[in-house]
Amino acid sequence: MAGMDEREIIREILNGNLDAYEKIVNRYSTQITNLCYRYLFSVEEARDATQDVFIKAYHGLKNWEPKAQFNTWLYRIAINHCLNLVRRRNIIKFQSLDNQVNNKVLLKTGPFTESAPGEDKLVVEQNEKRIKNYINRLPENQRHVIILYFYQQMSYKEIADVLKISLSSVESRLFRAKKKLAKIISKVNK
Amino acid sequence: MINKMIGNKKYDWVFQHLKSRFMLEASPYLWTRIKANLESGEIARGDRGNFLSEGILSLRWALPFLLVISVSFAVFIGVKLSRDFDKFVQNPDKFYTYEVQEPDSDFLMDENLFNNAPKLKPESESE
Repeated sequence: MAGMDEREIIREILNGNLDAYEKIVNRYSTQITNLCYRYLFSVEEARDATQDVFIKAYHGLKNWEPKAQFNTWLYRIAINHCLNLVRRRNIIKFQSLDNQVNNKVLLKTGPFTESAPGEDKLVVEQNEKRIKNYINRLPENQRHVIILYFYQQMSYKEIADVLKISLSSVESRLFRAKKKLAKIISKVNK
Repeated sequence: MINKMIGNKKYDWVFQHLKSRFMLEASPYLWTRIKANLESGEIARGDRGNFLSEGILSLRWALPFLLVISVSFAVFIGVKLSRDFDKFVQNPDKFYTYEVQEPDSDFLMDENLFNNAPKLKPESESE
């Protein structure tokens, strides 16, 4: 039913009703912002990226096939956009030396024992930074699966649709990603 | 191995964190910004569209003329080439020779002009 509704909204947008796009933006803005944040680890950059993703999606609406799920199509645009931003960022390498030193210190301090999320803001923030470092060490294809499965809480089927891979590939990638993540954590905390 | 690690307190926080529903709010002005961007883009596209349509309209008038000129030029070149080719086929030896035409006037042939001309004296004699 929700799918039908979206198709109708998109038909309206394609007929020139720009205000109808607000419904789509409101429906997916939080999810897309969070997805972007998981790749960019910066609130401001994630919010800017969200805006760019919706603008790109608007211009690409003509190419959207009604057979495909709209949210998976939108997620794909978001992931590609964030990957481009990360790659560009890696080329520019604007990260200062101080930042790199801080990251190393954070990596070596190890997890806090009382690190229940939401209990202490500082702890949560530090955990967030450590997680960022762990996730960034994963290969790109495993990183996608981890982000979509844990943070976006998507099903295997949805992940397979977004990444255009088979269900078994999702399973194996997730298994390998978890294994690799555990390895990275144990290596860092030695 | 994974289950062991997930059960281990050492790694618990990571997977707990991953499973936590920490949700970042989208920008409160997101729609306003998107709308402004899309509208300005549409205006720009509209201007571009006007230029394009004017260009296409003028091309619609100019194209037939350009077509006629280029076709007539092609026909002219074609006819010229075919004539030259026919000449070459008929007489290949003569094709590269230049025909020197006899001058129309008999100015040089007029003997009286030579006879009446003042005779030049040799230099030695004048000295």
